[in-house]
Amino acid sequence: MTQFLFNFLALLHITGIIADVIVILCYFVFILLFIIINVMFIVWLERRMSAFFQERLGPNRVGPFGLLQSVVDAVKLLGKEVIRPTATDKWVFLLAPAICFVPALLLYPILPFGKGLVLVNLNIGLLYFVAISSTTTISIIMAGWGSNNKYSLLGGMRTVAQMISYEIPLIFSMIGIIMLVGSLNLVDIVNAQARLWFIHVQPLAFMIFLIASIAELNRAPFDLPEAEQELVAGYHTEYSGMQFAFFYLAEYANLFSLSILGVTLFLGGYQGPFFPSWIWFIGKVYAMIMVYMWIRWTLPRIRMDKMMKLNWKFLIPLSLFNILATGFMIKAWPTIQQWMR
Amino acid sequence: MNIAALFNELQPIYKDKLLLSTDTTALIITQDQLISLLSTLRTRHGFNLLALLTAVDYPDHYQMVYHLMSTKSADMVTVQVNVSKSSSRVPSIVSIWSAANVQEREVYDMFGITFDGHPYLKRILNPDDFTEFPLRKSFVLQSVNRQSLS
Amino acid sequence: MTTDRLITQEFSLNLGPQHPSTHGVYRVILTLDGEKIVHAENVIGYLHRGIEKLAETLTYPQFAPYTDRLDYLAGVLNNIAYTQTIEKHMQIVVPERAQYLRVLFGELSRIASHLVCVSSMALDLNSFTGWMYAFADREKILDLFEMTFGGRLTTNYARIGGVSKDIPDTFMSAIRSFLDSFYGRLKDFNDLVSFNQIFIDRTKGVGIISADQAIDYGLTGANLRASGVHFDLRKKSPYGLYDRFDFDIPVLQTGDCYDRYYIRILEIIQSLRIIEQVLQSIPEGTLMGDVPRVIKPLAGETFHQIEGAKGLLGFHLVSDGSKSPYRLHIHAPSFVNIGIIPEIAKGMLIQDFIALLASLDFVLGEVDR
Repeated sequence: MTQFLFNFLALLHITGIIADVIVILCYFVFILLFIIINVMFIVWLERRMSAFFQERLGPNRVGPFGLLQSVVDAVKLLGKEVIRPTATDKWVFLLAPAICFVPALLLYPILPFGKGLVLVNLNIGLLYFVAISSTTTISIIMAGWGSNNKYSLLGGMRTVAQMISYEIPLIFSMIGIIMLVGSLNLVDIVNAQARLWFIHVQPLAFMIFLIASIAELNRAPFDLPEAEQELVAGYHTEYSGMQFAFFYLAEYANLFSLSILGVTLFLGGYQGPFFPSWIWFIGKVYAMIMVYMWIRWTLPRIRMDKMMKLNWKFLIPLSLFNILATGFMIKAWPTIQQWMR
Repeated sequence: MNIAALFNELQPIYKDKLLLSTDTTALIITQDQLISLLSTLRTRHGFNLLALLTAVDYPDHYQMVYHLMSTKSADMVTVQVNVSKSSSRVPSIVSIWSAANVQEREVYDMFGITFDGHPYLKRILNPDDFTEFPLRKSFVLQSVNRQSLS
Repeated sequence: MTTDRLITQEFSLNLGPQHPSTHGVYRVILTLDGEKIVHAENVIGYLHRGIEKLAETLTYPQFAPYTDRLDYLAGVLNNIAYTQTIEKHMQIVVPERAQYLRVLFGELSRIASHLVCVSSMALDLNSFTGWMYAFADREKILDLFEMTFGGRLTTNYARIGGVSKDIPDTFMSAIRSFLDSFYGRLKDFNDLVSFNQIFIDRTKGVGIISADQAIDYGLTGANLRASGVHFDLRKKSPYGLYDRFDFDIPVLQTGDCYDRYYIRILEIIQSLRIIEQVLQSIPEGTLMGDVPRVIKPLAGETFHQIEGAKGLLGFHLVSDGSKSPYRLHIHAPSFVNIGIIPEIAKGMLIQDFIALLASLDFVLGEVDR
C-alpha cells in the first residue's frame, strides 16, 4: 500500500522528502478516521448490546437503529466547555488526555488489517505494541495526580497497581506464540496460522490473554480505576468536554487495538476461506469485542486485593507454566513424531 | 407481660421513685434511677431492644419516652421520665444501648435536652449553626416572610 | 525495609452527599489510610423536612400523604403503620376486605422495596444487568399500584378506617401474569447475581454484625434477622390479619453482607406466599369502616409499630383531643440502622464499605424525615 502511494505521488512528480511527508500525513488521516469511525461504532454497539442484555431498547432514535447517536454525542462533547478546576496542576492536567490518546493512535500502523494491508511492516511489531501500550499508565497517573481530587488520586493509584501487574501475564501469554513462530513480526505470526489457529495450540495462553487484557482495558470485572460506585469516575472525575472525550476515545481505541492483537495472535488474523481477508479480519475483531462486552455486562466488579491475588498467585505462575510447556513441546514434538512412526 | 404486674415486681426496689402512669401503660421513673431501671429491665426482664426513644414537650415539663421490647416474646414496656424545663438535662443511656446514640442526638437536636454522659452530643438533622430547637412548642412554624414582617 | 517503618499519612474523604452509591443524600466522612477506613462519621439531615413538626399543624387525615414521603420505596407500608396507629387509638374496626387489601399491597410494596435493595446492591458491586432485571420487575409492581390507586411511589392508599380504592376488574389477571413470570425471573436474577462467584467473594464475610451487636445498636427488620435473631412482628405479635396467613420467617446466621442481601430474596419468596393466599381468600365487602366525620382522638398516648420494609416502623402518637396530633414521633428503622455504620466500617476497604452501605438498605427519606 505504501508503494502504491509513492507510485501515485511519483506520477504527480512529487518525490523525496515531500512525498514522505505526504505519505505520513495520509497514514495519520487514515488511522484517525479508521479509529474514530470504529470507536463510534463500538460505542453504539456497546450501548445497544448492553441494552439487549438488560431488556432495554438502547439508543434507537438518531439515524437508522440509532447508529448516528455516537456522532451526535461526539458533536455535543465538542461543543462543551472545557472546565479546569482551579486547584489542579495545570500542565499535568491539560496534557494527560493527549498523552492518553497518542499511544492509542501509535499502535495502529503496525497492525495487519488484511492481506498486504499493513502500514508499517515492523520486524519487532509485537515488542513495539507492548512497549507503546504500556505508556498509557503514565497518562492515567498524570490525570489522577493532576486533578487534585481524592477520588481521582485513588483511581490513579489503583490504575498503576493494576495495569503494571497485569502487563506481566499479558506479555507472558504472548511468549509461547513468539517461540512457536520465531518472529516478533505480526504478519509472520498471521502467516504462521494459515493451517491452524494458535488458539488450538495455546488455549491456556488465550485464556490468560483474555483475562489480562480485560484488566489492561479497565473493563468490568476489573474496572477498578474508574469504579463508579466507589470512586465516582476514578481518574477522569474532573474532566469534561473534549478532554473527557479523549479519555473515552482512547479507552475504546485500546479496546479495538487489543482485540485486533488478540485476533492476530490467536485467531488467525485475516486468514480465512472464501471471503476477502479484510472481511474475515473485521468479523473476527468484532466477535472478540462482543466477548469483551458480554463479560462486562455480566460480571460484578472484583475486589482490589482479590484481583491482585488472582494476578500474582494464579495468572503469572500459570503463564510461566505455559511457557515451560510450550518450550518442552517444541523440543519434544519431533521426537514424539518419530516414535509415532 | 402486663405492665401492672411488672410495676408490682419493681415497686419494692424503687419505692416511691417508680410510679405507674394514670392510664396504666407506662412506668414513670425519676431521673436518678433511670439508668438503674433500664439496665434492670434489659438484663433481668429480657427487654433487650430499644424500640423507640423520644421526647414530648408538655406545657410544664418535657417527658422522655423509652419503649423497650423483647426480641424473644415481642413484649413491650414504656418508661417515662419527666425533665424539668429549667434544667432540661437527663442521663444518657448510651452505655446500655448503643442504639440510643443517634436517637438521643436527635432529641437534643429537636428539643434541646442535654444528655449527661453522651459521647458525641451534637446536632444531627438540623444544620450545625441552627440556633432553635424546632420540636419545642415555643418554635412556631411560619414562613420566613411572615417572620420578617412581624 | 520493613512495613512498620513505612510512614503513611491518613487523609479524609467526603463520601457523598452526592455520590453514586450512597443511595440518596447520605454523607459519610471517612478517614482513610490508603484504601483502608480508619474512622467513619455519618452526616445526615440533607433531606430533613421536619415532618414531625408538620404533623402538629395538620389534621389527622391531612397528614396521611406525608407518610408516603418517609420510606418512599414502600409507601403503602408507611400509610398502613400510620392509619393503624390512629385506629388503635380510636378503636376503629376496619372491614375485612380493606384489611386484606392492606396486606396485599403492603406485601407488594415490601417486595418492591426489597427488589430495590437487592438490585442496588448488585449495582453497587457493578452488576449493572442485575439491577436492570430487578428494576423491571419492580416496575410491574408499580404498574399494579398505579392501576389500583393511581400513585406509584406516593401511594396514600390506606385511609383511617379502611383503604381508598378497590381493585379494578383487570387487576386479578394483571397480578396473575406478574406472579407467573416473577418466579422464573427471580431465578434468573439469582443465577446472574446471587450465585455469582465474584459477587459471593465480594460479600461473604464482609461487614459481619453479630446478633448481640445488632440488638445493641437497635437494628431491626431483615438486618437483624440476617444476624440470626428470629424477630419479625408479623409472627411475634401479629397486627392486622397476619395471623391468618401461612408463611415462614427466614433467618440467616452469619450477619455478613451476603446474608443481609440473600435474606431479602428469601423474604420476597415468603411475601409471594402471603400474596397467593390473599388472592385466594379475599372476601367481598365494604372498604371503609365506621369512622367519625371529624377525627378527634381522645387525649392519651399510643405506640404502634409494624414490620416495615426496612425494619420496625413505629409511630408514637400523643393526642390532646384536638384535630391534630400533639406530638407524633416516627421511629424510622433506617435512621437507627445507619447508627451502626461507624462501628462496622472501622478497618474496612472502601470497596467493602460500599457493599456494607448497600446491604444495610437505608432510605434517606426515612432517615432524615
